[in-house]
This record gives sequence, structure tokens and C-alpha cells, in this order.
Amino acid sequence: MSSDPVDVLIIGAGASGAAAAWSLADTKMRIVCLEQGEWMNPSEYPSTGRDWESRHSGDFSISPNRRGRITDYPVNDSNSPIHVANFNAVGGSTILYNGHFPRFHPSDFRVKTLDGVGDDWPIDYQTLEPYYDESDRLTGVAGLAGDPAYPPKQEFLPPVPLGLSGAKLASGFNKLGWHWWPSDAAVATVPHDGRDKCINLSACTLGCAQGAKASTDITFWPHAIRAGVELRTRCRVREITVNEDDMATGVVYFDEDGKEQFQAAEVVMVACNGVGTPRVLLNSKSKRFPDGIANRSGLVGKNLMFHPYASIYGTFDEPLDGYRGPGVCIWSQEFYETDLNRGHVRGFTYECNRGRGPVSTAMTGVFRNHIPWGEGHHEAYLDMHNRMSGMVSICEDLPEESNTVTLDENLKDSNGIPAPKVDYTLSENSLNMLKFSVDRATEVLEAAGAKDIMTESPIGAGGWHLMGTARMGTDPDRSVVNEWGRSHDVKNLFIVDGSLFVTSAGVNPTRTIQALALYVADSMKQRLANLFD
Amino acid sequence: MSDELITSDGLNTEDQTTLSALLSALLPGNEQLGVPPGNDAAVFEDIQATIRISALEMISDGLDELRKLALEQLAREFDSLSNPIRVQLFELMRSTNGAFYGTLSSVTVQCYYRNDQVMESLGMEPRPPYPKGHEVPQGDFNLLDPVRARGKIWRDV
Repeated sequence: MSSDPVDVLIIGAGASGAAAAWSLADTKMRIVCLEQGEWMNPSEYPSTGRDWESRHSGDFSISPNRRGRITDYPVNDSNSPIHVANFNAVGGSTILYNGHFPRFHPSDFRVKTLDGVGDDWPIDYQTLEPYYDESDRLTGVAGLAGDPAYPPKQEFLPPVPLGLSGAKLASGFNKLGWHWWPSDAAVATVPHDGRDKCINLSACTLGCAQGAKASTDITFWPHAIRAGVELRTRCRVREITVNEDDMATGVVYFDEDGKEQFQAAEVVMVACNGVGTPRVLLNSKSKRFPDGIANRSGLVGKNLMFHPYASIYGTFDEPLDGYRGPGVCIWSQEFYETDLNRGHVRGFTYECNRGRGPVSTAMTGVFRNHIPWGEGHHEAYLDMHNRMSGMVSICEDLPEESNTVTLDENLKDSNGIPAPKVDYTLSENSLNMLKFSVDRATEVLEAAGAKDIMTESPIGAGGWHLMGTARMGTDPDRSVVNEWGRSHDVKNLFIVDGSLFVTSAGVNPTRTIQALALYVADSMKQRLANLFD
Repeated sequence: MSDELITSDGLNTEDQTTLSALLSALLPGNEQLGVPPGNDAAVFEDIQATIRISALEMISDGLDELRKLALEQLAREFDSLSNPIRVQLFELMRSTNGAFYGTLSSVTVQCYYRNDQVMESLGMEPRPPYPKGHEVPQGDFNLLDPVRARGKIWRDV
């Protein structure tokens, strides 16, 4: 096992790995990225076939345990009410995300100062703002300027259409005098950077065959590869190796044939998400780091945050968008900032989705007893077809050391690497916030004319966002990496994914993950002469 | 499981008969709405092909249980029962054999609601979403006037 060292070795080719690789490429260093998944072929995405909706529960399931592709690793999340969702491929989970693309708010970086809970970040909104802008340019963000829930942002691509669903739900928010706005979306509404415009396939969460949705395999990666970055697929990292000087020396990984390989590196960058990253770190045990590399604080794998989600849908008397349009529509941040009179601290975003496809509509109706089998089936179905709409609430999760990712003692992946084990409990604050969000959303839907409100809280399958398990901070006893992503313990080891998050905010994390990765990469570039001091 | 061997080709004849009787009860055809019954040839073939991939044994076992239930509770062959009674027996299995009920229900709606005739009855073109896509109206952004009028709501730090 030997190889010439590369300058930078990145583990993971998802949102953060792609952004970091792209940013570092202009240094002309030798950069290699190892990704356990493969390149996806958009011509094979479900929306190209008649069985597109069925594949949600098969090879394009959001659950790695259900999907069970050769490129997946199992997750033991039986001790959690929220189950991990991810995707392993070039582009990572951006292949299956909906493309909701909000930024954090300035207040999200000062949670301790403002509300006395969680911790403050070691950086602020202004620090990240230029990296948000840079990420947005590569991504192609659709939206409408002037959202009063945010500081001013740079110009956008044209917003996604309101459609019939957006207009209907907006009428409910307007009747109550509550905030709403067209959602920022990682969707090219006009041709952008070689990608064609959205044609309203309604299958964003199954991979975008049109290439309009900004998954990083078609945004950052083509640019990074053209600039000289080497991306090796089907390479699954087992551990990061370290020398007697507490410096990372490279990684041991399994190639496509299951053969163990070693890749030496001057710098190792971990970009495997809030579950995959602690898994690799914890599995990198050595004499210098018996509890896993970069874990002298004991915080690797702790403070796991999901976003607890609730789903609130209703049926309407008139046809709405149904199976048409991008999933992203409008959002509301009426209840984003703290008001303790609501019974919880911090807040949430409502993300309105348009509707459902014909199969999904029938599934919902049958399993929730809104559509009977036999007599009356067709009439009940027609009452729901193209008439369902609603929203999810995405609630801020606060960090708690008892919510953890550890290594499972028994479960292993196909290469024999221990699987991650998730132990997670919903806090009382989260439960209160979920209930409040369901109650208020019900009011919105009723104000918009909905009947037969259907709710799910929390969404058990909805562990889309994996954060906090290698948090950043200035105190080595209270954080895993410093304020620019470098391990406190291993000075040539960097982390760039959602593991860094100190708090979770009440919005989807991908835009912030990409901005953070660009910020960490840029911080490295500015310190190249004394990077390891 | 039925005594008759399950082959790699799919359900045996007895199971097919039971499944057909069940599907015609779950999803009765309706000429006025232009929808076929659940045991329409094209739907039935799609359902059987889907079952064959991953759930053959479970569905066969469940159909056998359904036949026994008809005999035990009503002393009748399942396929001789009226449609409402067939549905009632199937609904009983929701609690006694949830995996069968859930899987067969799921496969049935998946295959039925992607059938050409059913999609056309819903005003849909029988095609996948890509490459043609769909039209969605842009909408009237003047609906935002009251939101704009209210002004900034983000929190200063």
C-alpha cells in the first residue's frame, strides 16, 4: 500500500466536497476526491419512465437502508424517531433534494447571545455573505428580490412559478396577515451555465432528468474537473491515517473491486455529511487518537441535529398544480424568530409544496382512510386528484450532546466498515415547536379554503439534514474544528460539511453548507504559506 | 402458501384467480368515469410483474390467507363472494397481516394510476414527465403587496 502523496485529498463528492474542490482548483495543487458512489446518468432518472412515482420506494428511496444500492452504507437509526435520508453519488444528497435553497439569517449565528440557548457560531452572516454569493452564482438560484424576512441578497434567476397551488396558499397567508414569499430555489428557471431551464417535471426528489435542478454533479464538478481536480468514484474510505506528529498522512480506502488501497496526502478534507464524517473520524483510531482522529474534545459524533419536520396538507375544491411544477413553491417565515409566548424558543420555516402525483395521491388517500377500496373509490379519488396542497414546517433543532452518531458494534457495510449508529431524542422544545407549527399551518390551510387536513409530525422518514457532529468553534474543549474548519488536534485535517454547524437554523442547510465549504477553502488559500502553524 | 408451486413466472393459477377477484372488488370499473376495473388485463399484468420482482411469496401467502378467511368466516370460496364482502375481508387483513395489506395496496395503486386508460380518464397524457414536462402558470406576484407593505421582519443582530 503506497502512493505518491497528493496535495489535498477530499473525502466525499457531495455539496461540500464539490464546492471545496472547485474553490481549491485554482491553486493548481494536486487535488483528488474519493467518492464511494458513482456518476449518475440523468437518462436513467425515474422521470424518464412511467413508473417514476414507484421508484420513490425503491432504488431512489431517500433511505439508504431501503435503497440498498451497492454504493450505500447501512445506518442503524432504530433508536431515533427521525430516520436518516441521504444519497451516495457524485453530487451526494443534492441528487435527491428538492432544491429549497434558503440562506441562514443573521440571527442564526448568534443563538446563545440572542436567546440563551445553543451556542454562537465563531463566524457571522457577514463573513459568509460573499461565499453565499459565490455559491449562488455557480448554483443558479431562482428567487424574487426583496424578501422582508432577509437582508438584501444579490440578483436572482427569475422565481419559480407561483402556479395555482402557490396562489391558493398565498391567499391563506394573506388572509391571516402572515409573511410568505416565493422560495429561493436551486432550480434554473432560465438556461444557466450550460443547464437547460426547468420544465416542471415534478420529480425533483428523484433526480432531475432535465438538469435544471442544481445538483453538484452538474454545477461545481464539471468546472472543478476541467480545472484539474481528479475525482475517483467507487472509492470508500475506511480511515484517515496519522503520524507521531499528529499530522494526517493519508487515507485507507476500498476501490470498486473491494481492494484495499492507500492514498497519501498533505492535507485531508472530510466532506461526508453529519453522519458520514463522524463515522470516518471515529473509525480512524490510532495510538495518538484512541477515540478517533480529531476527537480529543470527545465531541465527534455528538450534538447531532436533524430538522424535525411536520407535514400539513389539505384538499381543496378546485384543481391546483398536482403533479406539475418544481416541488419548490413559496415559503413563510412568519414564525422564524423567537417569541417565547409561542411555547418554544427559536422558530421554523413553512415550505409550501405544490401537490402530488396520481400514485402518491392514491397512496395518501388509501392509507389515511380518505379513499375507500371498492364502492366510492373513484369519486373519493377525484376529490383529491390535483386538489391536494400544503406545506411542511422545518423546525430548528438545538444541539444536545446526548444526540449522537457512534459506530455500530455489529452492523457493517459491504467493505466491513462499521456502520453509523444514531441515537436521537426529540427535545420538549422541538415537540412544542412542531405542535405550534401544525396548529398554525392548519389555520393557513383553512383560511385558503382547504378541508380534510392531514398531518404527520414528526415526519419519520425525514432525516434529510445531518448537522453538528464536528462543530466549529474557538475553544478546543468545546469544538472539533476551529473557526475556519481546521481540526484543533490535527493541523492538516479539515472538515467542510454540515458537521460543522454549531446550530441548525430553521431552514434547509445546503446553501450554507456550500458557502461554508467555499469559506473554508478560501481560508486555506489565504494561509497556504503557514497553513499548519 | 397455496399447495400449487409458485414458479419464477409468478403467481399460480389459484392465486391469480383470487387476486383477480380481489382487484375487481377493490377497483370496480366505471364506464361513466371511463376507468377500467382493477383486474383489467393491462393493469393485472403490470401488478403481477411488479409483485414478481420482490413480493411474490408474501402476496401468495396473503392470498391463501384470504381464501381461508372466506371459508372460515363465510363457508364460501373467496371468488364467489360479492364485491363488498371481498373488500371487507381484505380490510380485515389490514390488522391481521399488515405487510400483505400494505404491499398489495401499494402495488395496486402504483400500477392502476399509471395505466393509460386511467391516466386519460384523469385528463393526463399517458407518458412519463420527461422530456415533455408540464405547463405551470407563473401567477400574479401582486399578491405580495401586503407582505411588502408590512416591511422587514428579519431580526437585527
